[in-house]
Amino acid sequence: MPRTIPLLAAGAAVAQLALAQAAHAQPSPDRRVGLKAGWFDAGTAEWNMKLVSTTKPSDAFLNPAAPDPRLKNSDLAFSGNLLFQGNYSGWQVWDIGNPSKPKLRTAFVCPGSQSDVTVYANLLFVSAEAVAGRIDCGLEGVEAEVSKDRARGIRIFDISNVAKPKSVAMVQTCRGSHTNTLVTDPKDPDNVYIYVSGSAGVRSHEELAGCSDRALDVDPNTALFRIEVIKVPVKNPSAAAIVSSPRIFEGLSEATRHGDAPEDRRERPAGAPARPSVAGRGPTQCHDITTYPAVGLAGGACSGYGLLLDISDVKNPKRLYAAADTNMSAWHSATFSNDGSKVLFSDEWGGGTSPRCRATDKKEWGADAIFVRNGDKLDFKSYFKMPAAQTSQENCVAHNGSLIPIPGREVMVQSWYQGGINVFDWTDPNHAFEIAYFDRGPLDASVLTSAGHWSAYWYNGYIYGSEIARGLDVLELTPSEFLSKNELEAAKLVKFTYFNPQEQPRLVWPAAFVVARAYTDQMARNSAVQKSWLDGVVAQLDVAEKAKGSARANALTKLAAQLDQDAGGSPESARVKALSEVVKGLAK
Amino acid sequence: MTFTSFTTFMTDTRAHRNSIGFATWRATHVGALLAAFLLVGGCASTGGGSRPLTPAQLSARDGGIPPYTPADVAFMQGMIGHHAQAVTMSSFAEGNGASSEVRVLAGRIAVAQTDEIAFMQNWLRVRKQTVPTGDMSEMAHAHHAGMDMSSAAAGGAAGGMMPGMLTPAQMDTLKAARGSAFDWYFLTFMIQHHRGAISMVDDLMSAKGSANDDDVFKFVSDVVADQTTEIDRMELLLRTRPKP
Repeated sequence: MPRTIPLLAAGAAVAQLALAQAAHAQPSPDRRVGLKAGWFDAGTAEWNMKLVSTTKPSDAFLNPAAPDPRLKNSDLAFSGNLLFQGNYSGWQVWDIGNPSKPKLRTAFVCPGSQSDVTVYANLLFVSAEAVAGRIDCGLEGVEAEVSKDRARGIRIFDISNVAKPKSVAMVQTCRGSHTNTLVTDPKDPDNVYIYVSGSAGVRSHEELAGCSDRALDVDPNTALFRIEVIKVPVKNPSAAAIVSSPRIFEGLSEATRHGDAPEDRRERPAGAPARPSVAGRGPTQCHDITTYPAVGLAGGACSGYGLLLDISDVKNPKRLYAAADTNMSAWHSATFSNDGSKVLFSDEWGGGTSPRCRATDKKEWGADAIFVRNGDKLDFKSYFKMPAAQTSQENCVAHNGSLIPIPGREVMVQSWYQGGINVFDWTDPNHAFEIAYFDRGPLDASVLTSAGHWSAYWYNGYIYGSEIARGLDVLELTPSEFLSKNELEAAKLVKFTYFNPQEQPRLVWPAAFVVARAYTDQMARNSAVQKSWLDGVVAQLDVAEKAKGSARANALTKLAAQLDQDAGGSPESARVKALSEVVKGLAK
Repeated sequence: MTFTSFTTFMTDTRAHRNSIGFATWRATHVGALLAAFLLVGGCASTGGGSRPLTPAQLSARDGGIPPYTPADVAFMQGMIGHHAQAVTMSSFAEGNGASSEVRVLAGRIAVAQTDEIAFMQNWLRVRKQTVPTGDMSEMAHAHHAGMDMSSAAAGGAAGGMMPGMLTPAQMDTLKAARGSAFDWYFLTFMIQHHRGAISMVDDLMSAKGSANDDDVFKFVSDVVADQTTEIDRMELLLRTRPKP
């Protein structure tokens, strides 16, 4: 019975040495430049990853005559062998038991963008924001400025029978739901919580009582300057309701002041008095929030700020810190390192509909910004942007991604709309670098037509890309000089029963030889430890793996003892300790 | 507020007739429709078959163009001219000795609004509506000729100046200002300009059936979000700059 072990205590960091200096030899010229345009026949470029399958949207969500803005595919959520794919006109459920041939299980028609999806047990939560969304899921839109038919907020479905989803609740909110984030509370198994980020206009109070878009100093109950928290009793989801509207922007009245020098990044600890606010303004909403329940934190991407939130009291998230940066425009989403010590925020400059990866676009705009936690503060380290110049016909900017469970490193897959999907390493927060990519040519060579990857996530061994206009892509990473076969195999050992990318799960690896070898491969790549020492460790692992029973246990116990002894003086101290933990686990 | 509704299911065995859109759709899909899946949703045919059941059928029926209103069109046409003026204002920053913060801000506004102009023009082009050029030189020419820029550039947006547009006199003041004076005028006028854009969105949203087109809805949501953030930033910058 393999025991799972946490990789590292929170706060610990694996020393990152020569890896950063390694020559990141990429094919030159970049294969992503100059790809042939086309809808389902565009040219493609692959590097260190390969396309396993592309599945067109179901007939209900595809007009083969022309890409239609009403039929955009949006975000993804996963449960067992099911993949839930949002669409501006509803959502689809795919069985991904065979990744090379996803099978449609359900095409559920229900317009009202963006249909951001999250899943928990037998419940599916879908964001409705547009003014055209209807409670009855009808296609006819909503004409009147005030209407009882309009659905803006969170739709909740019972998906016990996925072929026959049942609507169980519609929780209306003042600004609708642009995105939603599921939060589980370890102390409260009977309920799950949804953090609602609404960034669109506030509806009329005649449509939903109490909705106001006044400034905070004019109306203390304004729908601006807050998020909503919905409490969902898991056994009685129809009783779902808003339980709090935390004002996590309290006292934040200013965005960044200036230029792009480090001293220009404003820092203000929680509770510090703000400057006199300008008419009580400042950030009025979040775009998205990533929760990391295992460490009690969340990262909020909110107007001009990246927020670090304490969510130990789930209903009442508290702001610990607000980072601002003049090179960031539309803070979009957050990703934590597995140990919680770093946070990567992305900037959806231009809202995802503009071409922001042209040769003329700044590398630090529309990029990722990597921060390191320093107590309750965030220290900025560097920017990372998909480096291949894209055309003016390709909407491109940083978008959704997730960690790939490679022990001892922060490796992430990310989507860049028509900039494709890339995989990069940000273990060294000062120096992120690309290790794989997949890209297509523009959908249309003559005019910018919204397309590309809305999101790209790692789930149980594969990368799933939600393509706005082309459907569902499944991709596989291939070993390379940047990623060994052992590291990849170790990543595949991490299995989720369900996965909402904005509810970050802690990654734990079972005690396995490939996990141990992932660490030894990393040490070999970094060249910081003595080669003779490492060769000895690898040889002992080989011997132990070939042995059986008590002989194996003894060999491993002996190796672990040696590793513990050597860890202290090693330039790869943290990695040696992590390796020792795996070896001890294998010895059991 | 909760509800439990719609348990109407459409399966591929259901009969449909009489809708041109559906007939076309069906011609291309009749084979694929036999795939074994269940399509469910809250929209049910009333039996006449004239109402599309799926978003794809709806899309086929209206040629892939979501319903839009005259108010949507007028808004897009007007906003092109409105944006064009912001781009022109931003183009002065470099030569007029703006501070680095204002230059960065102006650069971001120029890039963002130029792209948005292209987006709006394309939106209008696809719908075969009159497409204003958003041409800066045309704007400037109109301005020098003492014309009302808002309607000259906005393809006939009626009713004089759009909210927040700079008057010719304000534009001349901005063009002539240098250094810290330029900063002050740029920030003051751009705040006025942005507020005007936000009020144009408010007007649009109160029009019947407007912004049911997702592209319009997202666009106006982004305009409000981006420009509100920029107004805050500009007000902050303005606090440390004396009025010339």
